[in-house]
Amino acid sequence: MNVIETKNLGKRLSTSSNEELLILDNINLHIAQGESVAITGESGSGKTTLLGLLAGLDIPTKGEASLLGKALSPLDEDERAALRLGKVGFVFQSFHLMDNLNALENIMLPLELDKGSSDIRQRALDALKQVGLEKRSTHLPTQLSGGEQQRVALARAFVSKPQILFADEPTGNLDRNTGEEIIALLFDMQKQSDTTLVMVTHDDSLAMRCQTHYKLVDGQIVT
Amino acid sequence: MNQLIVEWKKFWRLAEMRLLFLALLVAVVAVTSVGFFTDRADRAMSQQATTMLGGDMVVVSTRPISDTFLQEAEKRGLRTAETISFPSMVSVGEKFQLAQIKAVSVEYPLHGNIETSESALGEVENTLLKRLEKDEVLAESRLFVALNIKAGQEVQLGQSKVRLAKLIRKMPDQSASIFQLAPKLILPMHQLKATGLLTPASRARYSQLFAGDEKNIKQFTNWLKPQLKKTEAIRTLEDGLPSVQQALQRGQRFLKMASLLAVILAGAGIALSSYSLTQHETPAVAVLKTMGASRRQILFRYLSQLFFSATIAALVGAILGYIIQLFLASYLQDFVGQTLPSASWWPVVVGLFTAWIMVLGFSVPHLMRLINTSPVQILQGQSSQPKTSLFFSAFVLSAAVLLLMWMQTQDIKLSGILLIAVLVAIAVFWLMATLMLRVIRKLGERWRLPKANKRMALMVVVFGIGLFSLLLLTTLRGDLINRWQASLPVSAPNHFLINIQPDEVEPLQKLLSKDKIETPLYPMVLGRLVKINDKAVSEDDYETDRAKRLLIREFNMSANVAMPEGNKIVSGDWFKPEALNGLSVEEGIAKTLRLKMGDSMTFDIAGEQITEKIISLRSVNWDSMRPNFFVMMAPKAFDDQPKTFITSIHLDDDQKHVLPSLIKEFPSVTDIDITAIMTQVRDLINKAAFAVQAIFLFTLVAGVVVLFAALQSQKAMRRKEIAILKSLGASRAYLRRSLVLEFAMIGGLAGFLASVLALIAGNVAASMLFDLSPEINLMLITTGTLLGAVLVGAAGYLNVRGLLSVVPVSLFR
Ligand SMILES: Nc1ncnc2c1ncn2[C@@H]1O[C@H](COP(=O)(O)OP(=O)(O)O)[C@@H](O)[C@H]1O
Ligand SMILES: [Mg+2]
Repeated sequence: MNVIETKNLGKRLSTSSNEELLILDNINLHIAQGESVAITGESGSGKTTLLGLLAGLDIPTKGEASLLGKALSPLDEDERAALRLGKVGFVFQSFHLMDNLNALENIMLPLELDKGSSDIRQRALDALKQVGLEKRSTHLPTQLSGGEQQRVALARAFVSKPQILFADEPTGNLDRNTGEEIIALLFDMQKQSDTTLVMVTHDDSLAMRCQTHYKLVDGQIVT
Repeated sequence: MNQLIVEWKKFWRLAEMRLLFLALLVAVVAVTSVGFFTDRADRAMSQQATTMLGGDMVVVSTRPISDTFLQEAEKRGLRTAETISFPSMVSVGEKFQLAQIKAVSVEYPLHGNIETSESALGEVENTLLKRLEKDEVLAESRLFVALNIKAGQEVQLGQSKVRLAKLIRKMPDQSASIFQLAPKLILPMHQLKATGLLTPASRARYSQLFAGDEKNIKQFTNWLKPQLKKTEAIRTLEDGLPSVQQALQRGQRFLKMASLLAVILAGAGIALSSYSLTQHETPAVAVLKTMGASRRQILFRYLSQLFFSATIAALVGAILGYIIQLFLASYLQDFVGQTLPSASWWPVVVGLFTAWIMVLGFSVPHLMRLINTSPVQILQGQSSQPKTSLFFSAFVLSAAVLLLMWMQTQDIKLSGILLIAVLVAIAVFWLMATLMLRVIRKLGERWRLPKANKRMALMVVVFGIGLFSLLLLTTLRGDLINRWQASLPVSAPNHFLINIQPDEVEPLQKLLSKDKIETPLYPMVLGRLVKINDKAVSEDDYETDRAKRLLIREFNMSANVAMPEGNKIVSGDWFKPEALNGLSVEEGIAKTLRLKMGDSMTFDIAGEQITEKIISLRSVNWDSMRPNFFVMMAPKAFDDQPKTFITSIHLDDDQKHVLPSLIKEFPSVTDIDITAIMTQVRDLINKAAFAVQAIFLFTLVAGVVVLFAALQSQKAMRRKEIAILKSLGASRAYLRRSLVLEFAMIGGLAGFLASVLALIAGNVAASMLFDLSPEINLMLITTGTLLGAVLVGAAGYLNVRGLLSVVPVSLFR
């Protein structure tokens, strides 16, 4: 079963000077449950834009994207959010932890949003253990290194056992060694929980480790 | 609930949230402490008033009042009493004296006591009317002096013989009668009939007194009001102690205004800190949305926190406010000399609503933008909020401010005017700030000053309005306190001498001048106003109780070559020395009776009608403790009238010997010693001044909160700027200089604008709200500008100092 499908997906933006800018065109993707997918391309090629469309954070100007079997365009923002709730996780280049929440509280956040969750604290502690930071549970993001922050972000993304994980340049802000540790951890967790992984990166060696590899050039997929 | 507290602890880690809370707290403390205090002071004053009135509520009339009120009141469980006052002659042998007879039912007075003694200086005791023998009556000492008798002697009153059992030393309603010429005689009601004095033709004043608990009295008053006949009016204590009332009212008005300004300043603090809060939370909201949070969830998350904070701030603030007013009230307590009525719960409610309205009104516009944050931007690394219409924000903010002012002043019209004033002030500040910044930009290129920009204009407006409020209050407070203290200088009169006969004027003045006491003596004549512009008037022609009362009782009128000290002409001219005609009328009473320049008034003076035209209107300083008159006639007008004279003198402790010799030489002259009242009033004024200072502090604190909230709101932007400048090679010294200079410039500009506008507004407010005369104070402008520059420069630098060590690398995160 495909958890993500797109048909002729396109995104056009009108700039301030009233020029039309075609960022993405004719994207056709099929991503199956448990698959790991890398999207590569040069800076400005439209990777992040595509990720936003696939996750339903943004809506296309052309074509259709569906997430978990539901077409996204007819849904409003809240309906799209509801679709993600508990089923989709994110890892960002600049971590984006809440700076007023400690490590554990950051991880509990997605579970708290989902009304059906139980054992929130225990599950968050388990996730923290999984990323090896159980001793740092009460530390605030400012007290953690970049690598540690990204680990917390990983725990936060995986804690709700999502079906899909979106990652946008997850190592972009980290040094090489730390980046590799994070990637190892990421694949580890992905395999364990059979999560679909959609990762944007400009690192080809990283892309090689994924089952599928899409390359974006000027808003189009080349294979 | 538990969840809320857990969440609150998390939010508390944000500096923005703590600032917001602080601003809320200041607002609530200001509102509740002033609320508690004025509420108690008000009720203390009305309690005081009831003892002076002799009841909680009094109905007066020139005709007999039907029994229906009394019956209804008794049905409702209220206590009642009746009085009937009229003038009559009292005689002993050949000696006659006019007295004001007050026939009272045995329940009189419902509040307060009749204090009596056996002789003028004897021991004072309370007298209950039901303890009096069948033919016993009470009278003021002046009657004893005039008839040359002692307590216990019999006198003739109408057709009865009554015994003057005791001297009245103090009784309810006495203050109003200080200047009444005829001494009072209290006659138990059951003796009235036998005297045969009360006929339908007699000019009597009837009153019914009611007492009971507050709620009951209120309901009864509401029931009674629509049934009042035109001749009947409800009496309050407006003519009791005008000077104390005036001083207190002014003080309360100032307190309310100060707390209102504190609230508005705190509101600005809330708006700024909730702006920073939402700014800070924008990426967080985007992240929450990627996790699948709905807008409702996000709205609930922030709104519940804001409301929770507001509620805690309200509760803590109410407790603090209560404690603070306890201090204020303990001062007031000494003055009132009785336990103050306990504080009511109302201020807590007001505090709670204040906090809620502020949170709603001042942060909802930001919140609306926050929840509409688009999630996709978190991927693109932006953190901008979508724009909402300026109109919506302005509307919500204005509505909140209006509501707050309405709650404080309970006067929608005044609140509307204030709101418009605030909006105009903002507009003026904005305009001036932009203009001046434009000039500075021109100069700045030459002097390498920091670039003037829109953000600076905003800061100038915010700080300007903050400083403006503080300066305005400072000047008003200073004026107010000076004025209070000046109104009762140490040399203010402390004795009234009344009942001075015309042939005693010169010898009395001679006697006084031996001790270097110079004082004008005013002739006094009693007159009843019967016609205005040749048309008969009666109390039926007026709606207000005050007007009715003025027509029911007689005017004390005087005439003098010089205008009494402390009076000011507001229109027309004072009399020429030899003038025979014309009237000078106090402006307040002219308003009450709808009189204007050139109108004629006819007075019935001892049966003779005298008609004169109004040639001047005067303002009178009622605080002055000197003889003051609503109506004054031309200097020579009283030459042929029977009259007595009145004066007030100041006696130092070492001049007290004057009195015994004075009284011995002029036995008919009555001395009224107001030293005790004066001490009380002076004491009260000092305490009110203290209260005013205390409340002023809140406004100061609110101002500081605004200062920091405004600085905090720019911190993120500054961090970025400093990092960029550093990466371009700017040194710390350069950055320090330009930051301090920028803040000092903003502060100086704000201070300058604020002081100029405060000077204007202060003079307007002083003359309109507090009856103070305008004054131009150029020092204020210098002080204001310097104060602004130093304050904002220092606080601004302190706030961003930490950012100077920011490493440019943070840019790339
Ligand atoms: N909000 C926007 N407004 C205008 N142009 C945008 C916006 N978002 C992205 N772009 C443009 O779209 C193109 C693709 O951007 P992006 O998807 O972020 O690329 P990548 O992630 O591959 O670096 C770039 O040229 C970028 O400038
Ligand atoms: Mg990108």
